[in-house]
Amino acid sequence: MTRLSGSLRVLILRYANAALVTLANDVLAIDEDDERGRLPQNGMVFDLASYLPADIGEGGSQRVRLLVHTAGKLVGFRTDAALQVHDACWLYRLPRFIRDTGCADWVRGIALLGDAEASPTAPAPDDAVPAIWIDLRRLGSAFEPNSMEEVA
Amino acid sequence: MEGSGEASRFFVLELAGRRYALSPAHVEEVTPPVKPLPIPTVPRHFAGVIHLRGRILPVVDGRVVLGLEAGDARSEDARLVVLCVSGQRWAVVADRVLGLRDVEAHAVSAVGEPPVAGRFELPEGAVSLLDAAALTQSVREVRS
Repeated sequence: MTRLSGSLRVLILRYANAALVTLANDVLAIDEDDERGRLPQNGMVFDLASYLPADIGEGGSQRVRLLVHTAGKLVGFRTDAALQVHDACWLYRLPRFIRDTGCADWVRGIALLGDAEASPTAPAPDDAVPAIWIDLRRLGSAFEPNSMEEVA
Repeated sequence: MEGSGEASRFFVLELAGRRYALSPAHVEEVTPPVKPLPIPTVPRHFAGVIHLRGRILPVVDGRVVLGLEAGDARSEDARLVVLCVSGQRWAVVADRVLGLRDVEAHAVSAVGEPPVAGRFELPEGAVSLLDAAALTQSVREVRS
């Protein structure tokens, strides 16, 4: 198990049964999920829940789009997760045992989430909660444009 | 093993109504089960990962790996069994842990196909002896 960094700022997507994190720097904006959204007419939107395990991905909060720039395009990820920027986080690659069996490259690893006051340079506390660390830019580039839902 | 007259100690657990034994040398810890965090895009025999005192451990659905009937180990008796095989740590949720049992070596018959390395009888019923290395290899190779 490889610990990658303890000091990166992440955006937490909290769902009812689990949490995801993505690097905050990868997200250009958090946008409205309606006609007020800034995604251009030729932009594309992913429904993030459709790429997640069945029992997570629904959060019950207001639907938003997370905008990222990938492969020369601006794409949005629709989600209803509760969002939170967080610094106290420990990032790990997935255990090799799992990686060796085949896993999409946009699933980067696991984040352990500590209290907001926790020092990211200290060892992760025993009660730190694991979250799935995903790379939205890689996910956005993993699919052909015709597999995405185009915004009217 | 047959006819040696020596006793071997095995760690015995129950999964889907069947009993399995492992060498205790590969059993690192037994804890109350923790709901694993499911990981997108991994084969379904990986139930997810857990955080156990600073370690991220994969949790394997032993039913899928051993070709047993699907189900959830959600009884009060369920336990998370952490294995360490050749430095590779992973966990499996057992329906029940019977604990350590001493078995005469001659009572173990060398039958079965990997990861099953033999069988023996306990008062609770027949037990399949698992080769931990072969079991770990099965986890790597199973397609689910």
